[in-house]
Amino acid sequence: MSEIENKAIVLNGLTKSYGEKRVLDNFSASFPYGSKTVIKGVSGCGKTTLLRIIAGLTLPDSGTVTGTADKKISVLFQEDRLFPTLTALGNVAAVIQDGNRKKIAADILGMLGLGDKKDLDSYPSQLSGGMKRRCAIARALAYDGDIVLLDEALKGLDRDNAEKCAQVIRTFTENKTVISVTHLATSLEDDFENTLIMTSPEI
Amino acid sequence: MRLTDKPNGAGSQAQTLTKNGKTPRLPKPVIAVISAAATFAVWIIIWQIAYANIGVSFIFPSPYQVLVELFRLIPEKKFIISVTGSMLRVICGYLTGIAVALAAAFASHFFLPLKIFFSPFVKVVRATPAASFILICVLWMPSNAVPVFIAFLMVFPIVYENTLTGLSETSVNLREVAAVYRFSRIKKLTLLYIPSIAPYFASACTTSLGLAWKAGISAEVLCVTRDSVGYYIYISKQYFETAQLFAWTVAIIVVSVLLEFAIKKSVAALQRAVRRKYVGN
Repeated sequence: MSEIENKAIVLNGLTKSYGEKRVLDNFSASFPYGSKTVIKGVSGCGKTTLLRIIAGLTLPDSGTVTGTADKKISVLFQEDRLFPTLTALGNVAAVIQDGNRKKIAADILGMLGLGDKKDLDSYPSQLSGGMKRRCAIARALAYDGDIVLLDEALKGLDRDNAEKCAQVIRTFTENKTVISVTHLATSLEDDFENTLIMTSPEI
Repeated sequence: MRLTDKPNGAGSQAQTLTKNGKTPRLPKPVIAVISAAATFAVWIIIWQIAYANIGVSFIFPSPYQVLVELFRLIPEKKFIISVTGSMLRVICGYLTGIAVALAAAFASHFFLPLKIFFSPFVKVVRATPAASFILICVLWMPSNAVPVFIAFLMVFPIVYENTLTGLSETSVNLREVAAVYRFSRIKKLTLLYIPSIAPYFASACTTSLGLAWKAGISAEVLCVTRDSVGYYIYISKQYFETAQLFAWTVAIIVVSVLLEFAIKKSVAALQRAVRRKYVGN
């Protein structure tokens, strides 16, 4: 293993197609541990596929990913993906492995403006779109991953809540490797040191 | 706000409506009971008219004759023993069927060769008349074991297929969440799979109970299982005790309704308990 592979997530020659459509073509990049990178690009250029490959949810047709094997990875999916049978508190507590799970979950939800008992005890079907998004953010942060993958993190949030969430995400991801994909610039990525622009291989 | 307290506006509108002869509607449960009683009464009248036209008690007894026979049977020791025996046999087969079908469905979902293995068995069991199985089984096992096995056979394919359907409809998105956050097997079971199969499983449990009960009693009749409802139905038929045969049938229907009610309540309680214990925080 080369020196850089011990210090970074390294993507080497990734290629991925869905049927006839090629979304990644010999894509290579490295993300040093502890760095913050925003990946921008138009819809359909393969940003989400890239995150899924890093998270191990999608296998590339060819190419390799190193530097993720022994790491905890938090993923904030583009969709909220909350468990419908769990309350907001339960959804967040479900990913916490140690300690006082409910207390930690309630604290994080509180920071995101969902600290009322009514909100904590609400099921996803009883939450608004913005509240569901904040709950999903809380879950991703509560897992305390070494690598945090954010897919359109602030999608669907109003300005105030987006700013509040961006601040909480910044606090929780200090010293962590963060890769955030977005097709619209948000305040979250303002102080990210790396920006990567993706284009569709077909363009 | 009580409308009738107000002298004007909506209150007087409500009073006017009452004066015009429109009475407040009865509560829904009361309407349901009245409706059920009326429907029951109509069918009893149709039964009585049919009896009056046929006029031969040993071919078609009257509702009154059946009721008298039923009340004559109920205090008898053989009634309690046979009803309890039949229930135990059917419930034994039913619960075994549910347990085996659940295990088989989970195993088949995660191991495709097992799904292929079970597929013809399930199709054959669903397509074969219960009577064929009963007559075959009576050659192979004691008569009091046949109803148990037949109840099992009625339950297995329904619970197996419904559970498989529920498992196949587990959300892919949530499965990915579980994978990313490294959920334990028990957490996956309780958060992903149990909620996904719950409605299918509950429906299968109630549907298959009726089938198990009917097929179980049929097995008792054809196998002449001692100390069973089926046995006394067989005896009643042999001696042209038609009113008694009807009375046993009424008893079967009543037990079936009670069992279905109990199973529905048990399944609902189980769902609540699972939610409280595993997913209700």
